[in-house]
Amino acid sequence: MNRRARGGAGPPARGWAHGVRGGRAIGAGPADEKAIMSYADLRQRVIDWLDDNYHFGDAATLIKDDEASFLDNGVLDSLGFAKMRLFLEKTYAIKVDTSKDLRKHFDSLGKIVRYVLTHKDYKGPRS
Amino acid sequence: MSLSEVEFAFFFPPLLLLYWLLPRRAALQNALLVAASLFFYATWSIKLLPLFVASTLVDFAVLRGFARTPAPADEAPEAERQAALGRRRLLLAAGLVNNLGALLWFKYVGFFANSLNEALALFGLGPSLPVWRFALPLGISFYTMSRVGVLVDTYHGRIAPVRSLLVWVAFVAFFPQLIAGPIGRGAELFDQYEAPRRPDPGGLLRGLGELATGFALKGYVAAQLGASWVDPVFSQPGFYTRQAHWLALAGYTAQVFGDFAGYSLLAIGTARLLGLELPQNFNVPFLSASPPEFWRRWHMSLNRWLFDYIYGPMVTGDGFMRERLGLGMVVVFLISGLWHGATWTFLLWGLLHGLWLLAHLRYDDFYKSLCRKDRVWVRRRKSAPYRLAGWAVTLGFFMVSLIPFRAASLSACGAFARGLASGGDEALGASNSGPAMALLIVALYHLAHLSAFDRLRARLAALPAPVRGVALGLAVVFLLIFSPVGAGTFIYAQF
Repeated sequence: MNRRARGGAGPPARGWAHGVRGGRAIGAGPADEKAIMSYADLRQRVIDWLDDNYHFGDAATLIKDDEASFLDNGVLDSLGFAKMRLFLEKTYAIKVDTSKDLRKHFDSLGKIVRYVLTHKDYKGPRS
Repeated sequence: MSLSEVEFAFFFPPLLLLYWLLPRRAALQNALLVAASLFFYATWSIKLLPLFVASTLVDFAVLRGFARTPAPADEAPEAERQAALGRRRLLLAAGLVNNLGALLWFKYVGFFANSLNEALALFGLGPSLPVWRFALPLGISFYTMSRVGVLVDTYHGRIAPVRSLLVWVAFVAFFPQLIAGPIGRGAELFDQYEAPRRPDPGGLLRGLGELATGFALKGYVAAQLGASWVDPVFSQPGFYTRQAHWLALAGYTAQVFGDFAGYSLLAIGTARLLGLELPQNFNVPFLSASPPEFWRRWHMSLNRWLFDYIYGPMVTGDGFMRERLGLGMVVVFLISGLWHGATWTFLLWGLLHGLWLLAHLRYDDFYKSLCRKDRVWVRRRKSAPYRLAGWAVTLGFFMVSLIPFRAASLSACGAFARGLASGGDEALGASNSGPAMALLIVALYHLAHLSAFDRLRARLAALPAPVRGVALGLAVVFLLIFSPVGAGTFIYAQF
């Protein structure tokens, strides 16, 4: 199984995802179907959240690469990082470590997805 | 001595020469910076220097304590983990008491005692508390933020505990940012102090440009507007005509920007000449088209600090404030108001901005609900008329909010506001064209940063260094000729 995420994988929550681009799925585990699916799915959910709250269909255009900085590319501002943290904690039943510098650790799509996927309490989205 | 005073012109050039003549070793460069910074501090108050040095040493001891008590590993036995965490919490508490305790004592104890006395008197109660007033240690509001940031970051393991006393004192006492910031972060500056600095012609030229711009804003714009328009009208609110009140308000808006953005540029430029890069503090704030955008562009180092150490943890933590994003803004801006000064007028200013952001958050939620229904609202939001309306409301509100920021008391604030609606009979005395020119400089400074002028700016930046050097020299000569000598106050040094 190759390690690249399939662009646009996962159902769009509100039908925003027109032309979602594929990105580098660095965090996905090798030869692990479930992890790769989870990366793509979680990646899509984060994009949907960004569309739903900030970019209304333009998030995928703004995110040129999974490792591109959210701050530098105008994807999120400071308040957006706090909202993103609350969204992840609520949706995935995880607790973001208070010692984390949100701007540094959540500053790209890849960083966010990897953080959630490798979180010790992550068991998928709350039903 | 401050960076915009004549004395600095005698202090800095020999220091700069000596700095670059020294062998390129970080310890030697830091030692010279520490000596120069302590001398700079002593020119303001030699009496308070021992206190500054003592509290700096206490902080260093706390930081070394963190180094000796590393954060426990997840797999460590529970009892051992708890003991180590307890020791680290104790160290953090000691550091916070050392810094916030001093700030509270010097800046706020008089205000709180006085307010309590007034409240007691209202109910006919006594006896009143003694009201102590102390000389405010130079830059205490700014360096307290820097130090607390480093202590919290080290406690959380975001940065390694600083190892060298010289690096620590150079970071805390660095004279360009000692009086009014920008508020430095250990994560951004420790590496710079630990490495030897080498002269870089591009950096030196850029630093000179920042010094010239900073001096133009601080020495010319702020001084011209303060003396000619702002001070006369604010000192007698209601006495001058309505037009004079509006001129004073517009003038004060540009003056505050010139005063503080100018001083920040002086600090950034001075640091760059010494091979150090300080964080940006202003990014053409008067181009902002919404309140959040304004606060991302105005006094950036303070607002980033308030977000990272107060707002973020408050609204994402487990307490009562979790998810209360709007209320959190009100709380943070009340703190910001109090940080600016221990008076009711600053608290009012903070409250106004907190409520302004809260109102914008609610409006934003409503507008986003429209965007979700129909993308036509997204296009509308990006249109020029929408941004123009947002810009006018943002700038208009900021101007009006500066009334309590500048007024001497709440009653003076009310008198000035009434003056805007129906002023007195006295016209502002005929003055030279200085204040109008100062206002024009602030407007042009902002307009030049519009994307329409990107190509022009790129062309100017590509001019040969000697041409840019001559242009800078001419600008400095102009400023030296036309700046009002000795006029104006340094607004942010009071904070």
